[in-house]
Amino acid sequence: MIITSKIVKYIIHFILLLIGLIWIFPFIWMVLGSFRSNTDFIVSGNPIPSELNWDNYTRAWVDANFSGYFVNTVIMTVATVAIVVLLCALTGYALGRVDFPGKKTILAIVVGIMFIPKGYTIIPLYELVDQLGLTNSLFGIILAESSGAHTLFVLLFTSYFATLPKEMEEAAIMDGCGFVRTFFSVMLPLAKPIIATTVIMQFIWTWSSFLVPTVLTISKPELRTLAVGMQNFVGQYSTDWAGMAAGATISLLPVLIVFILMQRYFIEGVAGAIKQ
Amino acid sequence: MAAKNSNLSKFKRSRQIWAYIFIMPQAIVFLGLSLYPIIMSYVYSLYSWDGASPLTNFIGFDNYIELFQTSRFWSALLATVIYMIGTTALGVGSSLLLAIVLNANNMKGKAFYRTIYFIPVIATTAIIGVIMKNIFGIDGTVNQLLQYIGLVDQPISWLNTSTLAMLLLILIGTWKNLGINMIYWLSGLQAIPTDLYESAQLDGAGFWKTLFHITLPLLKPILVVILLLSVVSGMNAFDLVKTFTNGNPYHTTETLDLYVFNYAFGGGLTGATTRMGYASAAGVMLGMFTLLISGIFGLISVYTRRKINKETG
Amino acid sequence: MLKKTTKLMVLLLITAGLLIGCSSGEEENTNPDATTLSFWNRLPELTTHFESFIASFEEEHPDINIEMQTLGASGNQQYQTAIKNNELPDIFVTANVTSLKNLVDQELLHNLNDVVTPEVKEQFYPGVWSENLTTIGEDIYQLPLNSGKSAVLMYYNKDVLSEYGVSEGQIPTTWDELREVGKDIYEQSGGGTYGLIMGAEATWLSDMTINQMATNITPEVHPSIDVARRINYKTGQPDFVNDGSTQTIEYLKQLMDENVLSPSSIEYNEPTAIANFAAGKSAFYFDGNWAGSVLMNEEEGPGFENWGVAPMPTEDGGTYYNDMAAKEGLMVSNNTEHWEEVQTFLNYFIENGYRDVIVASGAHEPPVDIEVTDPPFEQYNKINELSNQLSVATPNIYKQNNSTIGFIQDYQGGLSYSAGSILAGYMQGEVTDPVAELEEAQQQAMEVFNENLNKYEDVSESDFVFDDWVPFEPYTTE
Repeated sequence: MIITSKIVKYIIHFILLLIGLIWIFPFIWMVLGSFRSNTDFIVSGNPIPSELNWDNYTRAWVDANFSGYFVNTVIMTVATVAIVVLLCALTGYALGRVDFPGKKTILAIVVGIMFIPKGYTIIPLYELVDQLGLTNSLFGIILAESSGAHTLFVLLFTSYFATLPKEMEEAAIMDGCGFVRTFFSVMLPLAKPIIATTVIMQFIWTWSSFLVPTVLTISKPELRTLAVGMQNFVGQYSTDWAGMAAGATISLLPVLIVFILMQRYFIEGVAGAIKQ
Repeated sequence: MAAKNSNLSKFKRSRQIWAYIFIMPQAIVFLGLSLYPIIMSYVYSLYSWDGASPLTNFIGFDNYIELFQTSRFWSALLATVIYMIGTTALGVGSSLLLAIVLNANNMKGKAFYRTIYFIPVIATTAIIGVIMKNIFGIDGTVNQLLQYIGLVDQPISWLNTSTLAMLLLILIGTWKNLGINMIYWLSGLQAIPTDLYESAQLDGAGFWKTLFHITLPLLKPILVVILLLSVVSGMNAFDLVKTFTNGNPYHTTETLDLYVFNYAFGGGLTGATTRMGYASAAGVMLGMFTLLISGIFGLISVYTRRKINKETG
Repeated sequence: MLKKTTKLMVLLLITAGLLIGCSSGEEENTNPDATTLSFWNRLPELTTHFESFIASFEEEHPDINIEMQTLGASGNQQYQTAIKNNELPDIFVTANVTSLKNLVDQELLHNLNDVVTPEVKEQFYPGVWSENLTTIGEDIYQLPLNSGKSAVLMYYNKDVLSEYGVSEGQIPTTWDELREVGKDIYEQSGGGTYGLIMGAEATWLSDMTINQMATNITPEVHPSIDVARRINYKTGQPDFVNDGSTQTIEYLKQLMDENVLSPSSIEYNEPTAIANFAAGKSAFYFDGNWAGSVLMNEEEGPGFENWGVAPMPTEDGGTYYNDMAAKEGLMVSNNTEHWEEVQTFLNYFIENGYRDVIVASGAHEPPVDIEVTDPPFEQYNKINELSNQLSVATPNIYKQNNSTIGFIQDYQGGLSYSAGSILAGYMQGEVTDPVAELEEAQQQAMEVFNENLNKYEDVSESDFVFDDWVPFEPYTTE
């Protein structure tokens, strides 16, 4: 569709910018808040800081150990995203391109799982990871974070792989590629948009995931992640609001960067799958 | 011929075996790490259990019976449904509008706007709640602004008037997820072949006519997906409610997920002891309601699609 | 695109590595041969003082290394998981998730009889040794961190009082006086300053406030929010609807309607209420005895000094009371592999910790009689004096019948109303008739209470009746 009238265009831009400003106002407020002093934060409703107070960032980065949490979070998120992408791509490929007995049942299960009431306690998960001897290790957190049905991602991969023309696969087989090599060297690289979608969405979820990392690191606080570290600002009798705002700003940035870098593929990814 | 056939079936069988191998890792991870906790929370719901003692006190369906007799549980269900309907109704429509504008071919700064409108999605929900609570507080930025402009004399008690608090909760929930819905719509829009638009233009169809006769009808399949995702995420509202209203005023914004949390970890209202068994029962019920509502949605969409098919075919 | 992703990840990792590199210079020099004891602290108000205390302990005992972790908002989940999986740390501050008896029954705790020998035990105030809080039968399982004496008090902002011409002799002691002073301040300040602020969003805090204030009118009803919520020790039954609670709730609502109590109170939790009180938004503020240390705290609190403290006003100006309960203390896991080292630490704590951690923090009164020559802040001794006066030993149901421990846990778990939340609902306008709401609470409490009487065969109503108890007088069985 094309919008032709110039005046209409300007009006649309004006509206989009105005709403956009209101849209991100809470984040502007947060960044401003990260420069305010604590008392100022609680008592005054005026979001503009009276002076630039970098202390909050030092406090978050050094005292609240955000430096250490940052590395943990990056490792955990990157590993989880990689595992989830691989798992979902494999499943999606099998479901999308091969006819095998039980395929329909598996598809039905994948969809059905989305509506199954989730577990409300973390204790069974902890017991499992504990049995594997993986509590208090980043690997245990990564494994627990990678679990789940990933219904949306599996379906995206399935429908995307199903649309790829048969000839591509045949040509690869002619070249002497087996099933596995065809997948890794020919088909998977074609699925970039879906990979980008999975990366972005899983990245967002894992990055801010809270309960699993908290409980799985109960006796090794140095393995904590940013979202968990945010709790360091909340005390029983007092909360370090300004430090929290600084911490929130620090943890928002990486996700924002990932999104900006990948957003083009992201939309394509969902679009490609929906064409089906 | 026979040899070729057997070769073909051998090839086919090997593909099938590979397919099973490909599915295996995901299946193992899921069965191993996700299914067990889900099953266990059903088991816990049959016990009187504080979450820390040994699991010995089996009480059958007593937790469920108590749940059904508790008015606070039903009001939590009502709040959940209101929130779900509110965010779905508001979010699905407005995100479509935004997507249509941002999909226009000659629109400048698309990537910029998309990023702006996507930012709330990537922020941690719990932090959003904390920020919003400050912004809408009695001495918060919004009230100060309203008083400065002179729109109100007395600050508005946004968070302690049940209708306002619920309204804000819905607005913020919508705001938070609008970006992701916008992306879904955008991808639906991009899936529409451009030659359809071109021929429509040749036929002299204007913006609105194209919208109602080409764009919207073709978006129906994605509408179902977006609706379902909105419903499921609306039913599981926790982080935002916990940090923004915490169920206030007087439990009117307490959603089922928050109710579960309050009993599982917060010791209900009294702050005394945790009731994991009772909370698990509430969690199971929440899951059942989600299943039920999604099922109704699914049936409606299948039914309408059939009806449309009948009319057109 | 994959390449791009990889590049990005590498970039992130490098950035992170660089940033880490900057801060890694502060790594502690720890003795590699030292035994490490893990320690969970649930009380953030003690964190900084525990840190310096541990540093001096490690200096004196270089062979022992203490790894302290302060638990945040998810502390309860952590405790539940650790208890369920038998992974409690060597030493920890009492978990809030289950009863002491439960932990002992599961053999999760190491008794502290070797540390708290009879001689050591005598140094403590006798009130701290209490069934299911610090002891089970003859065995000691918790080293109390505080005296257990605490009460809700009225803090006043001296700046505000002097600005509106209220001398310290005019600090209100009755409900009417508070109303008058509050109205006067509101009018004089043109609505900028209120008489009173409460942190009513924290319903547990207003619950404590109401329950304690109400003892002035209905002293038979136990004011505790932990032990026997709203049980009347004369009738042996739950008692929600009585003059004490209805009048107190009505009074506080009236204060709000008359602009004495700041309407923001319903949105404030404890820290925000404290900050606004310190900023001069009100003359008075109700909070527990620990609030003094928060007021003084410059990093996490407002760092405000010019305040005083008095008992809360009551209807007739008489006194009110709170029970005594040494809830918080140090426990030791039965699984500890370093019992020797744990003992060394606990002994060091008994010797120095009450002075260097408890008194120094200013948040609590120590459980042993130590002379505070150098109080952490000027008002510390005054606060302790008031909590000593207001906190009174009440009958101990657990001591009388051990089975009531499970009973009370189930009874409290079944309640879904509290006076504090009814007050909040009333102030917000969601509850229009607080008496009707209290009656509903009463009905529910009776149901849960009777259900549990059936369930616990060895518990009867008479376990909650104490004919020989005179409210306001310390209760001793000896």
